Amino acid sequence: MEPRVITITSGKGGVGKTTITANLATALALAGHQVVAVDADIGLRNLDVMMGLENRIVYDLVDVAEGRCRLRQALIRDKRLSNLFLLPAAQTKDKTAVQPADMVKICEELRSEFSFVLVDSPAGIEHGFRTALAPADEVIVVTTPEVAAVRDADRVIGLLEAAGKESVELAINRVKPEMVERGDMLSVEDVLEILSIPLIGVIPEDPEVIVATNKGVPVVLNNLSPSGQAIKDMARRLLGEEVPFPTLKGKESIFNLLSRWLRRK
Amino acid sequence: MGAVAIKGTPEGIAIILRGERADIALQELEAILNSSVSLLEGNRITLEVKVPAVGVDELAKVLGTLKSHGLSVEKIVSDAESVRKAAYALGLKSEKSRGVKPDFALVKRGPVRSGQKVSYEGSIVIIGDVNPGGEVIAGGDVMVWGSLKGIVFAGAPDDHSRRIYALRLEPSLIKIGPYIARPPEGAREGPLKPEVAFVQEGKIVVEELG
Repeated sequence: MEPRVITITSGKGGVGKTTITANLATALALAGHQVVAVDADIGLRNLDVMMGLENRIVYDLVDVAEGRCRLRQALIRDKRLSNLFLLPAAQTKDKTAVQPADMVKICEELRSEFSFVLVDSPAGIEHGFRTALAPADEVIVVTTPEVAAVRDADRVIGLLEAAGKESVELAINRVKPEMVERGDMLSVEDVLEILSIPLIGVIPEDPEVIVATNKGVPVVLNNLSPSGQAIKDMARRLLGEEVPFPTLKGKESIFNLLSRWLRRK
Repeated sequence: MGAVAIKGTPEGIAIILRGERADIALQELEAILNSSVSLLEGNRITLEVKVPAVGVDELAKVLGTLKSHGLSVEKIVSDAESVRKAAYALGLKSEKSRGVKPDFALVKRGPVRSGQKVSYEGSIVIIGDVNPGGEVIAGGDVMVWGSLKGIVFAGAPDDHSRRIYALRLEPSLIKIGPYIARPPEGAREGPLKPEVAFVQEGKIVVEELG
């Protein structure tokens, strides 16, 4: 299998890019793949905290870009999975410290050792976003079922199309089925209707995520967590398996049909 | 200067008279004809009159001037009824102007996403949706084969005769020529039918299609 560089982005902040990156990386590693998660959110690094690796950082992405260390020296092996690595962001610099060309070069080097390179993009559509997008073969756009987040996701998808990115898929995070049922929240169908790109994951709202994040243990390692299961499903879809989207609260899921139809296009 | 323009069209040469005063346009026309008449000879000529208050006398003078240079006018184009009447009195064909905008349409596949803008001097057809935050700006009409939820401007900048068609017409802002409207607050109930928006008595109105 060809190595794949997948960037996780959103436009709006706080929708769960970093949580999804950490968990997707862990889920792919659990499935036996060589995985590295790259934190491109320079100046506001979080990925290390979510993976529980913050106190192991010696060198970071900026050190690699500026030639102060070799790439291998900056990679941190996960404490649980030996085939999962983290390339952390710098906390002291800002997003202009790494150029798109540096990121492409670093990811090219990572391709020779890993089958999955997951890049966690910063929020926004400025320099840091363009840097995180530069090396991507595939892009996952994360949104929550909120009007503002969907609007920003739409903007980002437009920019990705203009940049010629062909494989762009959607993950809808923090869905609350009971609120959707009451008509208080956009449904998955509503979001898909506006964004009209293939669906790769639907992740329910789950308090376990907060616990997991604070502990630095990705929620996919918790077999009882519904959000962990949803992200494992997402990983299986990335690996090419046909995994149906579970119907939320027993409702007939139109988005299964809609998503299959969008994939066919 | 600028009261006379001469343009090549698919049907021949159009001589356009504009400005406020017929006598100025006539003077300028004479000056142009004296210097460059040979370029115009042998062409079919349409005279477009955009000067207000041109009657039979003024029109006869213009035609006489052209004739003295060996040019005969095939038809008169004007939006003013007085001019068309004068043309009739002088035994010439006349018609209303078709506007300067081309009758071509730009066809774009949607969705037009937030932050994207589609603009064209003629009409625009969008096959797909116009999402909230997307913009469509047409010199002519706008037709959306999908949901229109963004900002839409037909007849830009000042043609209020243009129309906006959509399968679901729920724009955040609608402009037709110089007129602007905002839909009422709150979500609309039920499945929407195809609708058309146009200007009537100085207001933008929306009607069901069909």
